[in-house]
Amino acid sequence: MAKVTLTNVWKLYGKIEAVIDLSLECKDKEFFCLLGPSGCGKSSTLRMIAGLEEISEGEILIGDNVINEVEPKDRDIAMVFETYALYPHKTVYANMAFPLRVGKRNYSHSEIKERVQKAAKILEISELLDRYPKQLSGGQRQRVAIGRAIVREPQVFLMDEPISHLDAKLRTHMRGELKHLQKVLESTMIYVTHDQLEAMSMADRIAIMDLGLLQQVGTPDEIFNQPVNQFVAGFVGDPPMNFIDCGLEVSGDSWNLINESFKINLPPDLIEKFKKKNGDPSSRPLEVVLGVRPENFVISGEKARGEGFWGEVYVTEPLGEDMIVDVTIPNNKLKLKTSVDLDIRMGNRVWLETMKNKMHLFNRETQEAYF
Amino acid sequence: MAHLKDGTMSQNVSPLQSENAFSRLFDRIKGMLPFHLWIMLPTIIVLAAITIYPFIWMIVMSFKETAMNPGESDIWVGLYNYTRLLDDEPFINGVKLLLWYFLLCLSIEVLVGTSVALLINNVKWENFFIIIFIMPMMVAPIIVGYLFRFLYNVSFGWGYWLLKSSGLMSGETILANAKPWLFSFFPSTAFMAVVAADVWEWTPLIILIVLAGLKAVPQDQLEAARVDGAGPVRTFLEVTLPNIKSVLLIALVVRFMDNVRYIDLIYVLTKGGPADTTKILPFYLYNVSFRYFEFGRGAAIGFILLLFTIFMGLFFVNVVFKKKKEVSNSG
Repeated sequence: MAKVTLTNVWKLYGKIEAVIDLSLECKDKEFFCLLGPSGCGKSSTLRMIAGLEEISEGEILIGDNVINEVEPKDRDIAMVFETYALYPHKTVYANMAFPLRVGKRNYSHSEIKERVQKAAKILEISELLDRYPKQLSGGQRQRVAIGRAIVREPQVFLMDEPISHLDAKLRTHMRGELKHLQKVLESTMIYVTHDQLEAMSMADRIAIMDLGLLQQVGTPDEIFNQPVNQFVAGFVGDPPMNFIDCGLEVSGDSWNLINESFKINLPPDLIEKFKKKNGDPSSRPLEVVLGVRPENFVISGEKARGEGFWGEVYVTEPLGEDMIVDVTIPNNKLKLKTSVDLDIRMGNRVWLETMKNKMHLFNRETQEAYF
Repeated sequence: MAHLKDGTMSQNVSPLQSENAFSRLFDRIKGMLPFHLWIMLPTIIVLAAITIYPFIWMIVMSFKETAMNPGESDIWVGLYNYTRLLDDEPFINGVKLLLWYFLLCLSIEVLVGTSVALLINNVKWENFFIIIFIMPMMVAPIIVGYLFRFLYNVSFGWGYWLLKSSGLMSGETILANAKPWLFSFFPSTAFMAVVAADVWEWTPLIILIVLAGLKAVPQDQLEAARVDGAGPVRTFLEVTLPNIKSVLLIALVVRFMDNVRYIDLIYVLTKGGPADTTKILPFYLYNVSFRYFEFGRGAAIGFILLLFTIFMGLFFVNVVFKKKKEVSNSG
């Protein structure tokens, strides 16, 4: 097992910049997720680590060795592909034995058999070893693909959206299985996905990318609770964070978020947080974006304590225990998450208050987070 | 009369009723065959006229000694046309040479064709190479024959000059009844010269078909093999080859069926000579039927050739379909 380090890595396809100046470190035995929308450069990054794409600029290290010029087969990695890439004319056993037979190290027949059977047992596919990939269901194929990766006990596992083709139920199941497997094998795993739920639930740390640029690296908790910019805040969480344009008015110790429908007074601890990170604001009103996650609203039928605003219920989506409520306010539409017990109907007027300690504030121009 | 006419009009032949009768008849005819057979019927009739009828007639003819002069009639000879082939020296020679011809042409064409396809697959000037390589295929076999006759010409052919001056050939002419250098168990140099022409013309077909096959090899499998640690040879044998196997087999079947009826090139190049060393079976068949005018014997040879082709064709197709079955069984 080993750590993987990327220093100032670029990937250029002609003039197109797929990965821009990316520096990352994936620690030993870490479950590391590359998360981002399609076209963000996460797959290119993984393929550069695998050696399937040339590194345009920069260095990639596995352990302490620069592997820029090393052939994929000599990098001691294993990869699971989005399409599984099983060899259709080989049985499950032959598929799993293939890396052992062709690799640099010579394994004896009995050793190969032992390793394949061990991997098959871990993945619970022992009874499928004589079948062909066509005879397997999607979930079974995916296990075989993982089996082919784990038989060799490589330094690093690379996974390119391995469960995105499975149906929702199986995907939920496999998330847990994969995470468990990674802990059992104590392996370094780099996992590419566009599904924030997968990343949040499985990863030790997540790197979020957009348009080739690294946005933020951190634990799922950091990513969720301290997003560095509006993109990260909006990408993680379901339903996504609500963004409301407003102005920040500063007069002495009284800081207010103002827009046509509300005026929210910032508590002192948030002002402290703001000042610590950004220094004193100028006296003129700042153009800001208020970010509030759907679950961080208090919703009620009548005007309560004070600082809130009226909205009209556009539609409700009950989800068993929770309910997602779409509320229109002037110039905006918000998604809120609330308990399904609340008696709210379409067309109702509701009073909304934000939980102040859960608010996020972004610079409207740069989209960077103030706090 | 007018009354009667009126009566019949009103009783039997009302327009509506006659239409009914007509459409009932139409329906009955239509019901005699399933719809898809009706659609295929014209083709079946044409095919029957131009292939099935002559085919049956050929079998009948193979049991006869056909008359060529006016006033004579065919003589029924039973299986004589077949039994006499057993000690027909040129026939046995023809079979032997035909097998040599398959063996050499197909193996060289598949080997060279596949290698070239692998070489030019995904290189920068691929389309340019393809255009260059498929040119020989576009030339009519007769022209290829003449072209190679010039190349092999003793006085001015540079193919002859090349072989002679490089010391690869000791004989006086390429199209000779001599054993080729180093390969004394092979047929004559003339035969090898014919094979060379065939290879020159038809390797491009294999290149083209294999290239198409290579394009269809899933990229992810190739990448998986790279990551799994397989070298280029291993990757070709264990990943690429199984993926292009059926395409290769189809190429083989096409070339095989072509070879069975191949006489144009030989007709121009050697006319079966010298000393029958290039008289492969189809060419002998041509001689028997259209030079000696022994249609009965020719039909017998043709029928044997046909059975052989069908047998080999089924063999190839079975190989392809066995593979398919293995995979689809699974589902």
